[in-house]
Amino acid sequence: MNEHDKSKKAASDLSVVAEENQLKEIFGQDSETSAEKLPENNRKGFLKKAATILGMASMSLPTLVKEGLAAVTEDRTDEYDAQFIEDMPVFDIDEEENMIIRMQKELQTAMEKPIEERSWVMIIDLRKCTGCGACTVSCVAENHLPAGVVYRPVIEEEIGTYPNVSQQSLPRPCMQCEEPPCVPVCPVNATWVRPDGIIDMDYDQCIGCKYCITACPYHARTFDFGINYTDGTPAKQPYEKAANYEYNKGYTHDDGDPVIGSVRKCHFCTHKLEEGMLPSCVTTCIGYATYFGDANNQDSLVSELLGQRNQFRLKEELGTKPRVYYLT
Amino acid sequence: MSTNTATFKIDRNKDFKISLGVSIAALLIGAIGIFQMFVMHYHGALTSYVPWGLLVGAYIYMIWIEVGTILAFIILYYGMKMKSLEKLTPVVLIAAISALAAAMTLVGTKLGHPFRAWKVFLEPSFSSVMIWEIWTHILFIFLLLGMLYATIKNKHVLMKRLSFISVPIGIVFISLVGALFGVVAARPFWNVSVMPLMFFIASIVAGVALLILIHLLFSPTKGTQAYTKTAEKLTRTFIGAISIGIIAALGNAIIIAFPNVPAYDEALQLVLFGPYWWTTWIIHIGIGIIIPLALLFFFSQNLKAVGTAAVCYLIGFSMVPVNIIIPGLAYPMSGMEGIEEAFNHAKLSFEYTPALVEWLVVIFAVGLALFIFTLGYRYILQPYFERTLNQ
Repeated sequence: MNEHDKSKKAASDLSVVAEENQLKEIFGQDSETSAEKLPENNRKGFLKKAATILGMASMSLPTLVKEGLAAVTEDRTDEYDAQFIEDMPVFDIDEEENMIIRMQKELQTAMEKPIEERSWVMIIDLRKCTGCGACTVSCVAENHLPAGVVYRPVIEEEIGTYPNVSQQSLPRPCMQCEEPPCVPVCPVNATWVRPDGIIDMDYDQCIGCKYCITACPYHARTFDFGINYTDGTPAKQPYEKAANYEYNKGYTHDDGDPVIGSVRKCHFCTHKLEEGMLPSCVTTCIGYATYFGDANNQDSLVSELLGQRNQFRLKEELGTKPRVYYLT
Repeated sequence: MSTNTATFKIDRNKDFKISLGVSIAALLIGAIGIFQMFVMHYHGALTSYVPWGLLVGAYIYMIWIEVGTILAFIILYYGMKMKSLEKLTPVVLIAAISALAAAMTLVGTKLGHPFRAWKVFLEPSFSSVMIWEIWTHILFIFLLLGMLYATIKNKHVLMKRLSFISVPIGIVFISLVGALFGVVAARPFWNVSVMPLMFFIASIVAGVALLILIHLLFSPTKGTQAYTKTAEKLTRTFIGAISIGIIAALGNAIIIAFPNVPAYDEALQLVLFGPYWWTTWIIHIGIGIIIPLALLFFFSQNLKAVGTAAVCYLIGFSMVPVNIIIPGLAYPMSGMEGIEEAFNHAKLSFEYTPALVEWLVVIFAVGLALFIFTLGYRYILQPYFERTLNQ
């Protein structure tokens, strides 16, 4: 054994001694004897000490995690993010619930007026929209929309390039334009602007030429091809047989039903409005991002919001004057 | 004279039987598509984002043939005094009526509610270009039938008057078909002011091409010098018409492409370099323009070459309406990018390739046109020709 081997063995012995001392500190006796004697004389003591070790570890864990996260996020939390978080609107849930109740009350007040004195508008706060699609789904459920028909898709847009990226969700109902390009092209007056601004469809009048679909600059009209979700399965299910209440009529989507072969579109849930209820997309929005009301009532919530600077409408340049506004 | 009579006199039972057999076969095959469309409510590959496709394209093509043939005939016969075309009058009218029948079949099947078509007459909305287009078409149809009646009954004055009226009506009608697309501001590819003019030119060129074929196949003067001279005149007219068409198409393409606004030239990119580039470059430009022009320039004295050029043009141009309609629809409009992914379904897609059922309906429509032409020739024109030649 040369000098180098001797020093290596000494170092090894030292580390063994250190390990033994560490175990003695924990268990109060030789580790070898503790292992041998444990079954017969001190199981409780062992469990108690093991619990102490685990307790200490668990107490220090949050600190460790916190420090670790701090280390990870330190690089990513720049001034911009801090400012962004600071600027994020904070909403009081109670206040939001009151907002829905307020809009509903305003709607009921508006419904007491003659139709020509109402002016429905929808406002969608893009800062609050999470892109969850609840409005899309509730619309499908409310209007019993068949496969291939959608009134309110949510368009997802990615902005920027990695690593400077963000994402925006844009719900797109029918814009209910004041100057709608889809209405005058209809050859048989199957679609028209109501006095309150909503664009109606008459499924019993539509010939299914689809000219209005080509004319809409927002892709807001879809054609009912007569497809059911259960096509190709043994039976049509009750949820597809049940009548919807669009335009206060019960369309069942059975063979020969006028809705099949017609063009369909969002109508701000007119059947619900007439019952004093808000459109489905408004009440089911988890972020309270969609507002609805009578713009002719200057005290209404939508009138207040329309007075803000941060609003825009899609494709303003076309002059279609949509009744759907977006807040940014 | 006896030779001429033998040539055009349809005692060619073999040709008649072949034509009738082909048309009936097409009708039977196509009837499957008609059944699927009307009874089983199939809509082919159309989607809510591409709501018009092959059937509308084929309808436009048949309209071009219907109106173009009549307009070209009247302009050449009455306007340019090509008196040798006189004997072709009933053939031209029967050809136009056959194309009309095909067009009406196609437009009927593209409707979601074909049995509500009567509403366009009884409950029309005159703010729609479509209504003006339909009504002028109906007027044109009455003029067509009136002209056929006047011809069969040898009422020349009535024929002349109806012809003169049908020119402006035909021009207005075909321009309105173009305007049907031109007024759609949401679709930049369609929304060009030259669209009505483009449709008029396309219609006239198609009409001249069909007129050449009618002259070469059915003229009672076949084999005479007058026959050859008329063919030469028609050939020159055809070259001129194609040239004007090329200039108009190029002008339109330049107006769309040169501003370099992506929203505007996206459709043009689709036409030229999209998945169906071959319909433009091979069928439309190759078969429809280059081959006819080459044949007309190098073999203009050869009547078979002229006839082949006319056939090539008619085949090549069958793709033009489809290449106007589909690219105008097959991409999301500006600001609406991502709409296809927003709610997934096969019927909410910008992808469109004509389905078998659509092709079957086109086969039915073409079969119907051939069937009407064959029967019309046999039972209306043949007795007429025999009567006039005997006189």
